[in-house]
Amino acid sequence: MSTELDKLLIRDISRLYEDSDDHNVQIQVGHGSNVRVFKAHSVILRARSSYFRAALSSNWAKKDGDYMILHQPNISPIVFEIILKYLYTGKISMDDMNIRVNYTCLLAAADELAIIELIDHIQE
Amino acid sequence: MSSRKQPKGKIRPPKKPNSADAQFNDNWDRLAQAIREIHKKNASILSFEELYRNAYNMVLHKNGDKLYNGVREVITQHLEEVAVSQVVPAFPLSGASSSQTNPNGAGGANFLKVLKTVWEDHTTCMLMIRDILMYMDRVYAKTANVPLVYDLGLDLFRDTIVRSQNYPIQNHLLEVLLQQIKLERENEIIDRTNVKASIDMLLELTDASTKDTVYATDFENKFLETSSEYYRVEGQMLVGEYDAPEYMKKVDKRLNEEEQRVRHYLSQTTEPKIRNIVEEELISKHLKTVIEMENSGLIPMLRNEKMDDLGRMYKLFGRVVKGHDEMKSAISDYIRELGKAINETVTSNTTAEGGNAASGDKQTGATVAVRWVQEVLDLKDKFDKVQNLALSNDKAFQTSFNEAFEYFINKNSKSPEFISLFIDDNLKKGLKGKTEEEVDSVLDKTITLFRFIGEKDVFERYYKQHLAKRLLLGRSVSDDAERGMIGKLKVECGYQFTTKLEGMFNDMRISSDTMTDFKEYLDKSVLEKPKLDLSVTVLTSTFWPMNLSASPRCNLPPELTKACGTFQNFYLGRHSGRRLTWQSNMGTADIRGSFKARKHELNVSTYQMVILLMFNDKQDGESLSYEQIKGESDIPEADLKRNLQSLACAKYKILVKEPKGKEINPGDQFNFNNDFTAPLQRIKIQTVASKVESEGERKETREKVEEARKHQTEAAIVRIMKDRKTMEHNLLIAEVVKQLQSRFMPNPALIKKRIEALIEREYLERATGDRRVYNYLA
Repeated sequence: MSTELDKLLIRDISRLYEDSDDHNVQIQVGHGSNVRVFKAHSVILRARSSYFRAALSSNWAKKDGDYMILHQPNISPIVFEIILKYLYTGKISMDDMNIRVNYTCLLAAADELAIIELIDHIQE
Repeated sequence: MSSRKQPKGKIRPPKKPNSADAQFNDNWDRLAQAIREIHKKNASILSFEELYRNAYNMVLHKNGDKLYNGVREVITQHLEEVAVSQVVPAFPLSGASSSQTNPNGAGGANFLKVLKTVWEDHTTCMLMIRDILMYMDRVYAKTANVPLVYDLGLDLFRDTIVRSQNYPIQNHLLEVLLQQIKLERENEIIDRTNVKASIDMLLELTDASTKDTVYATDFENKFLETSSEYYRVEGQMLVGEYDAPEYMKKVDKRLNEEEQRVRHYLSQTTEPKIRNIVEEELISKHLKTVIEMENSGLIPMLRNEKMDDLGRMYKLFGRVVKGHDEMKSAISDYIRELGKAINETVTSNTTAEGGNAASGDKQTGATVAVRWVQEVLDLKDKFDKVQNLALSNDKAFQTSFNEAFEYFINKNSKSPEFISLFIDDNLKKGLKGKTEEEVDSVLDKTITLFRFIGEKDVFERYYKQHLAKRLLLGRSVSDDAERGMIGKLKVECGYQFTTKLEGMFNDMRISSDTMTDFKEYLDKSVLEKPKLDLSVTVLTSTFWPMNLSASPRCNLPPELTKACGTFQNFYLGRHSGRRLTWQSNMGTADIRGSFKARKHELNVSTYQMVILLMFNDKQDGESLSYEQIKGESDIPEADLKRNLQSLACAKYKILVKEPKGKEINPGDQFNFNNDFTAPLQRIKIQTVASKVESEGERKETREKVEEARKHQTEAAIVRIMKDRKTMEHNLLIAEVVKQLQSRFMPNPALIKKRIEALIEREYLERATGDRRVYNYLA
């Protein structure tokens, strides 16, 4: 019974990744021509990574209107998407073509952003 | 300013810069600059992601150690500046011993305030530095086994500010803290927030060598030392200036204050330590002085029943090791002293009345006993109250009080007799107008005194005598009350103690049945009926205290002798094999006397009846001499004198004595007092009432008790040996003592004599191998 309910929690949080109208963070990812802006919720990011917890704290957060703005020029948008999806859903599919191709970049990005469990998981 | 040469926090460019080095320098310059901005509270212009990435890149490119050391340098530099620009200028003006020039400690308070700000700034900055160096903490610090950057910051703060080598910050800080505490102890209001901030700071810093807090290594000992000194002086001052209750209130207040102080701004670990110091300096060191304070110490408190003060002393002194012991022994001594005084009034009374006792002043004797018991009971009540209201019913105190009571009660050799007389007084008919409940509660209390008596067998002997008189003279208040009392004694001492007492009751009941039967027997009998109503109580000799062999005989009038004979025939006809001995000293008689004025019914003792009947044969005015009466009646001399006194020298003078006087002497002449008048028709001539024994009687009782003890001791020895068959001398002695001590404390010499007597009578023998071992002979 309780595991069923756990799943519902994951399902509902996961939905926030796809379908949400109350983002409060904009993250500019990539550099040069390969730039993409991701929208996210600070509460999710801060809960999932100590990097984001510091970056989005009142000491450090930079605001542009309703949004907190972050710049991650050294991470490619494809890799960041995998990471963001993981932060919301707790899932990462190793079959995914993207992941195989970007394995090293993904590892490096997870390390930089202090998403410890993900590093361990990918290495396995 | 600085005496130390500090390498500047610049990383010099290497001689041949390559791109990696350039990258490093660039990264480091930005970070160093950022940290300075953070210190200047300018963090809002900084970009977290960038700085993080700088540190991340440096660690990634194996420059973690350079980064770490660089950070250390920048922070150290900053703290040095803070010391010079903020902390040092805030030093209290007159230096370390500022309390004289700066009596209210304002300079000190300001210093603490500055330190508080410096500390808060430092911790805030370190939190932000930790954020941007998060990657260094996670990856570099772990592998290099160096403190995380926040802890590094604490260490730097400790060494650069709190324990600065360059400025006497530490001295000032400790002085100011101790001074603030001293001010507060002297009832000044201090700003506790600032003190607490500094204390918290010291608690957060760790000493590198002891791994304990800087609070514990630098502050706590000094605090305890000064407190010790402070309270040592205060203790001496307080005992000099205040009485005991005030002293204790002050100490209470101090203990409370120190507890509050710890709770408000010191470490909880200090609480037991400072408490010990106050307890040691203000309680332990002055225990005796306070207890013995004249007019206000422990004894005056007891005397005036100051329960609150006593309770306070009990609680306060209970905090230290010797406290309760000192109190206990002081109270015990006091009880003994009061007990001794009670005993002394009794001895002085009895010796003063020694002469009178023989002259029939019986009431006073009993009164002395009753008063003694009452005073002991009052004393017991008083200390029960103390125990209950002030000493939380502490068992240790109870034990010590009981020992004191036991001690002085047994110091009075007459206490078993007195207690029995006191019970007698309460169980006698209608003497006090007390309700049954009241009597019962008095008797309950008396039982507590009974417990203290060492010689319970002596008590039993007196109790039997007194009970016998109550029963035979019909003076018991009620059967229920008597049985109630015996029930209480049974609970205390077991059935053996009371079987004989219960036997006495049985005799009374059976005798009353016997008399009914006797009357029927007379009604049906063809014999001539006696001219008087005879009432006989048949006593089983072993239950009652009368001495059969020495049974006092006297010549009864023929009518009476005849009636007695009739009863004897009736009784022995029913119970063959029994022997009846008449106890004429215990009886009473109702006789009618005709005087000039009117007739009176006289209730007299059997002896008095015998004496009065002699005058029936005499003419008016014809007298009888003492010798004549003695010869004709054959009444024992002591009894005769006492009964003649009751008839001729007491309230109702049925006989007139020549010469007049209180004492009966050989040669005295007695006349029937024809002119006797009295308002009442029925007159009771005082019979011999219970009273304290005379010295002769006492000696006799003592001998009887000793005799009984011999038997009990032998019985115990035989009982034990029958069970064990063989036993070593000392073990046997110990066992006998154990069995007998509920009744009396047998001395080993007595036991040894009894063992020898038993060997002589061949109940026991000495073992052949070992003379110290006995065998039981079946």
